[in-house]
Amino acid sequence: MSLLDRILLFDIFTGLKITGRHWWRKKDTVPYPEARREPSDRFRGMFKLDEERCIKCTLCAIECPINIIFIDWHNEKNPEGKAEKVLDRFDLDLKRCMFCGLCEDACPTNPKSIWLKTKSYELGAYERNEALYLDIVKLTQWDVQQGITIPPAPGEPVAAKEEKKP
Amino acid sequence: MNQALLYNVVIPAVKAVVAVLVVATVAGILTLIERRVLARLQVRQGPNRVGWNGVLQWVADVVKLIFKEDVVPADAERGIHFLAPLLVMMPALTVFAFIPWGPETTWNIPGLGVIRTGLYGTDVNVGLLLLVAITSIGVYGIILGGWASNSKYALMGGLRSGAQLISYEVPMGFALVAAILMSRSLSLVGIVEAQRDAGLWFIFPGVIAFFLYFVSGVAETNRIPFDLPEAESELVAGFHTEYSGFRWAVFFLSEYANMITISAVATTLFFGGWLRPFPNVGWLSFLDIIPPLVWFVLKVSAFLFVYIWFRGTFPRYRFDQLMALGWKVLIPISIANVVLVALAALWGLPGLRVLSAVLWVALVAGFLVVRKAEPQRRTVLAAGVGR
Repeated sequence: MSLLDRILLFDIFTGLKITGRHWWRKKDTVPYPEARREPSDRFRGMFKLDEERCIKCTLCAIECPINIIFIDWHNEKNPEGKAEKVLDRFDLDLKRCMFCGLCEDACPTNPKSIWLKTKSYELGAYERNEALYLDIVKLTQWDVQQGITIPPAPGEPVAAKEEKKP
Repeated sequence: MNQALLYNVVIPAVKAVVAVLVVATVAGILTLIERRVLARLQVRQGPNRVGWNGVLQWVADVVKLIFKEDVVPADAERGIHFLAPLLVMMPALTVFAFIPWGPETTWNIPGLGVIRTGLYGTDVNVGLLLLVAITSIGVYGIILGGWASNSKYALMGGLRSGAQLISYEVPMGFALVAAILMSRSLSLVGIVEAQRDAGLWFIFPGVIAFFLYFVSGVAETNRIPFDLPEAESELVAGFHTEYSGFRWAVFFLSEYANMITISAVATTLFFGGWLRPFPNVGWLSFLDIIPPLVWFVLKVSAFLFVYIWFRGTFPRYRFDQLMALGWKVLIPISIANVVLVALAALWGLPGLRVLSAVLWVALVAGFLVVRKAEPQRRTVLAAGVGR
């Protein structure tokens, strides 16, 4: 640093200029409850289960690294006389979930019947044991009450799926 | 009403009450402004919940602080622990008795007739001396508060504060001497009037003195980058570690009141107080449409903004760097500056004009040279801005 530089405090003014420029920048944060920011497409948030698509294979429960998905099912005869799996229980212990998304990866249906990419992050609760333990009703219907639209389940192209098979 | 009673009791009392209320309130509001401005500099929102866009946040803060529990540590010197915040607050408010906010004004008040009085508590003929004397009482409050808390962090904070304030009082004093030499007056009103008569703000011949004064002022008010007495990462909260509730609020508010003091004095000494820019240039007289009080408030606000801007920009000095800056840089410069200004002032008004011209030409030339000399480093520094 030259002497003249030091006398004129050039670096101090450079510092002030840098912060001063931030004054004019658009704010990175939003006043939250009034304004909401949409998460990116790959953001993992609240779970959504589509019971129609689910084939009750329990792969998601098997894949879960901390075993927080609990699935019970039994066989029933449907009107056509064929055996069909019926869910007794599909519980998800959200308060322990780390949102790794492995259950979504494991799901064999197309599109996925369980997915996290619902872009909803408002998971706060006053009573975690009740509010963050999701049974099948909560899993399938939490979005209905809040009246928000969630993006459709991610699905892979069918061709890609077939190539994987041996 | 009896004229003597009116001029000797009623008007000063009204002025005193107004000054104290205004300064205390502005100090409170300044806490909110600081948070908003800092947020803006850091590209975020800042407090925006209480009231419209958060404008009542400071009221909520004050109310919270008043009703908080007031904890006094065990084995603290209770009396001094109680006294210390007042010792800091009182000088900060007292100096507004003689800081001029505007010139002598005529007020036509119904029932009282025409009153002619200045927008200042009183015009003390040794005002600057009194100002330095009163503001340096504040350091006792900080040291005693730190000592009486019976806490090592607080004691360290108090000691640092003592060392820092005494060190920076010297360059500040010399900067004031430069202003006195230029104006040939110790009265704050007299200094402003000298600038009006000379036709130039003293920032032009006194740019070095102003720089010294402002840097020392930042150090005197314990503000970033010189907030060593309350360095969070080193001393928890420094001298007010053991304070809570309203006593802490008093410390807090007096810091802001001191900021206002420093800004107001810097405005008075170097930026012409209530005067408009270039007070003697005729064709600028349309600026007189803005009242003197507004000019003063605008200038003070600009200084307060710079204070907050500093806080948003600079990291904290190390303590030995702080002392080195004070003793090895600022004090020699301030003494040299006093000699320079004294020589110019000896010559009179032409001397001041020549000094201003020389200083500002040198400054601008220096800036241009530096800008040209190292363009590469400049771009490297500026490249950190992003976006």
